[in-house]
Amino acid sequence: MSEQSHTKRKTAIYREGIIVGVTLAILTLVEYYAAITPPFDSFAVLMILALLKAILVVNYFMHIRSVWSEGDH
Amino acid sequence: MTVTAVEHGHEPGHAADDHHDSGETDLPTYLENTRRNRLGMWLFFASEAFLFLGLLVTRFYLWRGPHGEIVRPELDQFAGLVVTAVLLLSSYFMNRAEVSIANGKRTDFQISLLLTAFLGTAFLIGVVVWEWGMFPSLVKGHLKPTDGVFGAVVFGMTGMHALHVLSGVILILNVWWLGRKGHFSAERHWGVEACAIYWHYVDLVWIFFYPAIYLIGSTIDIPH
Repeated sequence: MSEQSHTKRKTAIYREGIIVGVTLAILTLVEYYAAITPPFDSFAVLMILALLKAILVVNYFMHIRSVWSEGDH
Repeated sequence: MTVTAVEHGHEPGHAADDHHDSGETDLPTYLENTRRNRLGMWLFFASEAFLFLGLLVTRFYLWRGPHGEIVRPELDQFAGLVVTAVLLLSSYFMNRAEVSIANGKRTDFQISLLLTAFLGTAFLIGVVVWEWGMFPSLVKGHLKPTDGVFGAVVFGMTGMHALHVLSGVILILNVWWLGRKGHFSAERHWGVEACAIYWHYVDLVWIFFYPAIYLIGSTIDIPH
């Protein structure tokens, strides 16, 4: 791998962390306002939002794919 | 043997350290062991999930109104949002710490770990002071553990989660200390990865606990 592509990959990984963090923050705010805005304050809506956040954390922060993938994450 | 392992960036006590070869030679063994360790860690998470799912089910079973509708006690919404944001931010810095050590950026790794531990401690203080009201002179708590099913469930859920946050903070500080001594390298950092995914798991649990405790259901007055 050339030095340039390695640097690009590093930058991309850092950027991915920022994008996931910001998305989680936005979803938390959406969750908060949904809870005080009928009819979005339902169990289903709030659990779907929580599930979306959970998928992001499990996939990007906890690297679940690395459990069965051959390479390092 | 341990000193040699640390000098070469190995993790002591690891099977890979039994080899006297250079780090290059036993890296495949290390990666194979790391893959097994990851599976073990996820099995541990699966076992923990039973505990937290049990608490969630308890919340939705017991917190019911007179007509069977989902209810919740009136809690400090601002406190809930702030501690949730703090925990999410800590997850970002934990991820940054892991990415940094994987890229050999030690200073960034050390700073990110410290920030994660600081934010984790801030979360704990937020729950203990704000929500539990452990220091009534500072903030008066909303519920007591003796306030029927509401107090029991709130303190049961937040208490069990806080215990995991506390153990996570201790783990992070331990990893930070080992990192200072040059224990981890870009190629060998399972200790950091394990600590990171444990921390994210603690965050994952709160992702479901936050709406369950603070947001879902209509509020009811609790007689004290």
